[in-house]
Amino acid sequence: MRPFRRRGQRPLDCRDVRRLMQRFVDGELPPSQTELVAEHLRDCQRCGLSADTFRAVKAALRRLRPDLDVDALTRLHTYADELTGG
Amino acid sequence: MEWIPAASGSGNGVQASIVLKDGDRDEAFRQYIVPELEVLFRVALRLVRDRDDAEDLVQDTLLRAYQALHRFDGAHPRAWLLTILRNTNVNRVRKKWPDLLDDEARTLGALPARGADGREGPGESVVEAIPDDAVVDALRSLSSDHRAVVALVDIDGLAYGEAAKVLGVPTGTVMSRLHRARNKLRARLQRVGYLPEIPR
Repeated sequence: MRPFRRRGQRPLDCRDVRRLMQRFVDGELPPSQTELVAEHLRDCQRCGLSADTFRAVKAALRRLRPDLDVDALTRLHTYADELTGG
Repeated sequence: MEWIPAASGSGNGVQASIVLKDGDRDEAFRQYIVPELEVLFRVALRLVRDRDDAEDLVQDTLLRAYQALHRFDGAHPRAWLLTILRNTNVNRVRKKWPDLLDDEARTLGALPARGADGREGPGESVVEAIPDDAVVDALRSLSSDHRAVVALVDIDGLAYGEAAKVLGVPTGTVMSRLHRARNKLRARLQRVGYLPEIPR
């Protein structure tokens, strides 16, 4: 489904999308702009590939997230409970 | 539970504080603060590295948040807490090592421990998953400022504004550092063949 555009609003070009790409990949764009960028990425192979490389880097970095010490987290929750008298 | 704007004002119409109805502070703490415990601990580990120190830092932050809950406006609890966490850490470092203040970015830029393989994939993509070793090598090539912002946003999952609170810089600075850092990461991973070149 095509995103809703206001009257007179033009579709985004590659320069627009390059400018918005980082915030798009990070989920920091408002929904209206997110839809417009997604529309462009579906139609433009070059920008679509560029978005894929950003996503691949982001996914690879996210896999480096260390696991937290469960015992330490439990102690912190206990401390929070004590603060609230719970 | 109900957040009630404070009645006091300075005459310019700005209400700077919120008061809680009697007995609601504990409930507010459980509703807004406790769900952020894991994020606080994750960021604290980047600020101080040592696990026991990080645990102490989070406890101090929780205590300060509990005492200051009447000043919390009910919006963006994570950003509010991260500001308290950062300030608490700065005060602790000042007390402990007054001459060593404070290469925060160097600490924040510490490389993460290796995670388990394959927990999250890149989704449908023509780009293959990048091996952990290659990403760690690419991270090492970044400056400490750039590693810090990548660690907070890409590894720990903070929003731009939240990372800005931790680093004590404007959100725009987070965005520009992130932009430059990612371009360097991409370029390096392209050079070693883990990412495709983008045709001009």
